[in-house]
This record gives sequence, structure tokens and C-alpha cells, in this order.
Amino acid sequence: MSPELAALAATAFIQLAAVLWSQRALEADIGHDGNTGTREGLDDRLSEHTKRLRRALANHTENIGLFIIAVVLVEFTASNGWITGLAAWIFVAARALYLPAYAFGWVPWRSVIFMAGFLSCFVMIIASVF
Amino acid sequence: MTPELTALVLAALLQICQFVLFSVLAQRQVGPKYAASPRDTPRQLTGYAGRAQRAMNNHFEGLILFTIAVVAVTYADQTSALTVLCALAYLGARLLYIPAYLFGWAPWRSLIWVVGLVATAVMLVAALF
Repeated sequence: MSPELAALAATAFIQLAAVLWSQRALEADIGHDGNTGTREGLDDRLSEHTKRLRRALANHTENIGLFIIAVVLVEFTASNGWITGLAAWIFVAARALYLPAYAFGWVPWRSVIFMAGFLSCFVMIIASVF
Repeated sequence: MTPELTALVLAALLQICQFVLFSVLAQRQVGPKYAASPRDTPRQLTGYAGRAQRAMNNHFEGLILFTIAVVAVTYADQTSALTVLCALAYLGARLLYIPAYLFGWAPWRSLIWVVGLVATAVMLVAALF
């Protein structure tokens, strides 16, 4: 497995961690029955902390899409190199840090961390072209 | 690189451009300080910023399906003139979708969106046969 594909697997585990963390916070707010229910008027019943985790999870879901494209392009075009491997693992580190950055309100680091992950995808996509 | 993969590169770059457009318009509206904050008090973006945000979010949804379609036809070795045409149609549709949303081209925006979805669906079916 190439470092880029390993990074993709690691990203899936970060996504899992984000789901588990936000689910734990959600159940702390509205209980297990509230979670398995149909969630009408959900936003009004959640704490600030839970809503932060849910926004972080939504952001991760968006960025994982771009990262999948970046990894697929690098693999298909066999453009793997130290730059793409490094960028892939910077993405993983950035996305792992993004969760506590959002949950604990690290300003402006959350935005910096986001940009690090976003630019990593950009670098990998460009690397696949050349 | 196959034409379908080139289209995927361009679609991803288009999404990055859409993010930049959204980010600039949104920060002009709410300010960089709010943007960097944890946004505990939700603020509804209005006007061009809101439209750019909705257009970007819509492309995140469409882009995932298009990624699956490109990966499927490429892996299954089912690329053809039809799948190239579909990939180009998707790209053209998603490009037009941005001004269609920003300038409120109704009902054209919805029709443009359908072109992108149908192009993706045809590629997915082509991967099967």
C-alpha cells in the first residue's frame, strides 16, 4: 500500500472518530432515545459543544471528498513521490487536529489547520497532472 | 491520463475555485473574525455570498457521485466516447451552475443541475456494461 492510500485509510478512521465523538456529545444532550428518534427541531436541543462537533464533522465530510479525488488521481497516474506522500500525511494530521481545534475553539488555528489540509489536496491534484 | 481523469482534475480544481469565491464573498459579509471563530451564533449568509455557499455545497454533493463514476469506469476499463462526452457534459454543467446560481437563472439552474446528474448516471451505468 502506497503512503497516499495508507493516508486515505487513516482519514477514514478520523471520520469514524469524528462521528463517534459528535455522537457521544449528542447523546449527552438529548439521550439515546433522542438520537434514535426522528430528530425534529434538533438544533434547538443541542449544546454549543455538540454543534461545534457536528460542524467539524460536516466539514470533514466535504474535505474527504476532495482528498479521495486527490489520492485516486495520484494512484491512477502513478504520480506517487515524496511530495504527494508528504502532502497526504499533512492532510491526515490537519484533519485530526481540526476536530479539537473546532471543539475547543482554537482561533485562528482552526482556519490555519483547514488551509493546510485544503492546500495538501490541491498540491496532490496538481502533482497528478505533471 | 484519460479524458475522464482530466475532467475529474478540472472538476476538483473548479471546486477549489468555488471555495475561494465563497470564502471571499462570505468574509466580506461577516468579516474574517467571525469566519475564524467557532461560529456558535449561526449567521445566515445573504445575497451573492449565500448563493456562492449554496452552489459550493451542491457541488460537494455532485462531485462525490462524479468521483465514483470516474473511478468506476476507469477501474472497470469501460471508458468510451460516451463516457468522455458525459465527463465533459458534467464539467460544462458544473461550470455553468455557478453563474446560474449567482445571477439567479431560473429555471435554467435546475436544468443545468439535471444535466450534471444525468451525465454522472450514464457513466455509472456504462461502468456496468
